[in-house]
Amino acid sequence: MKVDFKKFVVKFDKVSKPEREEKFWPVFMVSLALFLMVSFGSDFIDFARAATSSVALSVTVSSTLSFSVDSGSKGFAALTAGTPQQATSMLYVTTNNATGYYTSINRASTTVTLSSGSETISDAPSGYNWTAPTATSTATGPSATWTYGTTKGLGFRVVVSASDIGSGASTTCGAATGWWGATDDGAAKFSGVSTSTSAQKIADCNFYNSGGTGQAVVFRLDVPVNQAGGTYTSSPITYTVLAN
Amino acid sequence: MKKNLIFLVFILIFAIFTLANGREFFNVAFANQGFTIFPAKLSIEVGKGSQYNGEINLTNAGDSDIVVLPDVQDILPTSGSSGFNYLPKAPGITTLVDWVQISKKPFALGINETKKIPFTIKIPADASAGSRFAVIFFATGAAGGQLSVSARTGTVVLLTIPGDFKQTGEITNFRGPGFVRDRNPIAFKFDFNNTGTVYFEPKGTIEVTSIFGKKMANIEVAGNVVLPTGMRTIEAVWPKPLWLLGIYKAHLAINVTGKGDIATKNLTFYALPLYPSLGALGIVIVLIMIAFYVKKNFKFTIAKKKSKSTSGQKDKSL
Repeated sequence: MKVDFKKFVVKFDKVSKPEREEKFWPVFMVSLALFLMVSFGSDFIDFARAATSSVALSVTVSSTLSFSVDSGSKGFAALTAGTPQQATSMLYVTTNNATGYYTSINRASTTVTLSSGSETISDAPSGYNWTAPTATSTATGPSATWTYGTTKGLGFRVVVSASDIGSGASTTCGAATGWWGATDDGAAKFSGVSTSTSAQKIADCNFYNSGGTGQAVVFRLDVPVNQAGGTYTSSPITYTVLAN
Repeated sequence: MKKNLIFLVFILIFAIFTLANGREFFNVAFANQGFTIFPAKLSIEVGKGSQYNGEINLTNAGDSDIVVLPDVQDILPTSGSSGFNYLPKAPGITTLVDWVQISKKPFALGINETKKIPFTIKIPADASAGSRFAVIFFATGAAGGQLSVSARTGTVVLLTIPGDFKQTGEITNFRGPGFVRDRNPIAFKFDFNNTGTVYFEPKGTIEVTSIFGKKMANIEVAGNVVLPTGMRTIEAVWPKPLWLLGIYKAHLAINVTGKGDIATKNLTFYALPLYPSLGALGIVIVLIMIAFYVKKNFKFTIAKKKSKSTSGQKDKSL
């Protein structure tokens, strides 16, 4: 190839090589260039765009909150000592509050949750009764794993594994694994509904989520073999949801 | 025959009535129940001897008619933490519960029905300056059954009485990523201790600058309520950072209107964009290979044209 300038002539003369070698390098380079373009091209486009300036507008929107629970009453299947039964409450929350909301639980009276006449069922499985830790949500609370056949009483926990409970809400919002266990199987931790009538925090969903969030609260019940038979009913358990 | 017919009609009417009421009972007991409330949080400043007239919009968000139980309780902060308790009335001095006037009479609310609930907060002339906290609660009535459950929400009232009060705070444990290698959101956290006598919603900014002082981002710190003597861990996120390379400083400043910055803290972090660096390295390798290939396979010559004044020819080979 020859490029003719006014005073100079630039010449490219290809050095003759065996045919195989000539084909390898152009194909390799084009392939490598294509690979790099596909892998990093979008990043470099963003990188180049990042220098553009922007203007921010601000406005204050008052907070609103919507909270509902799936049912006003939960029932356990007939209970045989040593074989725990479970019941689950589903909580749905939507709020535009920038710092989200928190969920608390309490029972209406200072007597035990489940009773039948003068007979009662313990509110302290494994000896624990829930009081929210005062430290951050990563701190452990008064809760323990449930040992089948050994742990007795009425316990509750918040589900920590992600699953959709409808309307885009997740069961996990603000459920601390330090409080309720790293998983929902053998590591799941339970505690009793507090003996205090003061509501105790069980989840802190401290961010805005446009699609709504929620929690699933699981109650587990087992009794000792000498528990008096009969139908046990509860003092009302209240879920409270307030803006952070 | 006629008597039997009347008896049959009576039984039929009784059965329909029972079924209808039974269905209603079933709905109350097992249906979805809850509220939508506006406002969910109310931050107000009311002077001594003055009053505040407000209104709460409460909507039945469940799928059955409900009876609503209103209540007002004090919020009692737990020292050194973000925790607190609700109490029907905090012990000792007069509290916000004493000043909130609202009807506590239970009322019915139909499905999707909205009720405007007026309330008044009257501040005594001899009230001390500072903050008071309360929640105006609304709860569904308990449905009964084996495990009876009710839903409760409310409007959090954060009241400040102006005067001689202390609005101070401390930032501790300001933390962030030590090393950044991609463009994922960067989260900064800090603990804010309210050392004043009024509640705090620590608002401010985290300014990220490069080692050369170039401002990279101004991250807003949203207001989280921290009650007096309380502590709260607050998070601010830089949602989509630029590609960062080098050493960066994050300067956190919490401010109060009219007082400027009342608490500041700095942290340093390092960044190396992994993918762009690999990309750049790949490009350099390709350029070297191209140069090597060209050098090996092509002869590049620049020749000066012959002119009238020049008879010779100079060649320059690369």
